Amino acid sequence: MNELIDLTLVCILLGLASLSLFTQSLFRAVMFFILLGLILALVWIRLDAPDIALAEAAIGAGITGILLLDALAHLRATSNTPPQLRQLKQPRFWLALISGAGVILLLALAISEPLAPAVALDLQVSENLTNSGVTHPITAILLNFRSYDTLLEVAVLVLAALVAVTLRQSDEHPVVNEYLPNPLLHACLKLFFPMIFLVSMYLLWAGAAQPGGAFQAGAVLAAAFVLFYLVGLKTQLAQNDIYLKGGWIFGLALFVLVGSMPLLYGQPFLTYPDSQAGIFILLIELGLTLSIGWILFSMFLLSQSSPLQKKDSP
Amino acid sequence: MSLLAILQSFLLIAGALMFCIGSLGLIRFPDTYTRIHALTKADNLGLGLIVLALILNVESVALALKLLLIWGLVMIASALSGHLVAWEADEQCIPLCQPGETERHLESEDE
Repeated sequence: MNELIDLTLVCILLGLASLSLFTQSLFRAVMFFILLGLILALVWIRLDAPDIALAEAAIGAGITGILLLDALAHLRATSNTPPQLRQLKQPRFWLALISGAGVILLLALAISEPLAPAVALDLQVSENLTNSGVTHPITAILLNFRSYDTLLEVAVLVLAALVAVTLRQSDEHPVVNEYLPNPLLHACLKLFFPMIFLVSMYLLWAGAAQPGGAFQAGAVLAAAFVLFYLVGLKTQLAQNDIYLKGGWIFGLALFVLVGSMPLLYGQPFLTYPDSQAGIFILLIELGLTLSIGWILFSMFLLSQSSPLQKKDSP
Repeated sequence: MSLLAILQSFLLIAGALMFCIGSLGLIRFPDTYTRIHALTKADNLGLGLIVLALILNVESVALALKLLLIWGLVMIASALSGHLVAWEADEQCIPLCQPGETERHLESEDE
């Protein structure tokens, strides 16, 4: 029975992936991509990886979907002709073919190589879990044992936001988006906002002992910001350049600051004292949640050229 | 097979059936407005039946309340999204399909 579910999921996944690649209409391609993200979240749950499933549903399907739809609106605005599939020029086609084949070959080689971990990493993690300050192994790896990786990941996100600013400044065809002056949406969101913030903070708090954590909480927070913006509520913070960019680097700065505190006591960078590790991790995660939420929201915001215009009723 | 299991199976199958009917409506109904009608109403009932079936064998009250909360939130969200799609379709002056009119391909999905 379980095999049947898995097989169905795999078939749907492959079908959606090829549909989103080969559909002519870009709008449909984006829709299929969002569906792909949702099915992929289910697949991660089947693989016993609820952390990744949460991140996939929130970031892969949610925020990426919003960004892609937004990009689509820009494409529509910049060209009057509907965007179509373009034939690659000869040398580029061969280059793409060769590099694609190369990647497949390397992956095949990597799979055929027998996996022989020199050390049993999962055992090491469970042995040291009591010293990490949290009880959930994923969080322990992300923010204690391998916090260097997480630090660099957040740096990449900040970099992406900076690139988005640069691209916006060179955009010759700004798009004016409209917000939705819908009274029911307004009323319902008033009801939902506290709940969304509560869920975000819960995800952050739960990360210490259960699936959850800064990335998932940040994505939920970003969704709340986007909804906030779509109903036309003013965001003065986002208009101010200092607040905007300060928000991006807040989490990273806090991470580096907390991470370098052990240097004062002659300990290596990013090693927390065992007794206070839990507090340190929570502090870092809180900073990361706010910054990740802000960065993801800014990427949406930056694609808007000017404050949203009120939609004219026809 | 206990009475509980029979009741649960009945509720689950009925819920799945409601989802099927909703999807059938989405495919078969002629215009945006009637399609929303099929999706938002039939699916909410389907989810409600499935939630009821699951509540029958949860251990704690908290878990049952969580399931009910999910149902309630999904109902609000789907009513809201249905309303928004209909509202936007109306703003764009997408016409209603008149009774007796044959199916036609409305270009609503690309807007």
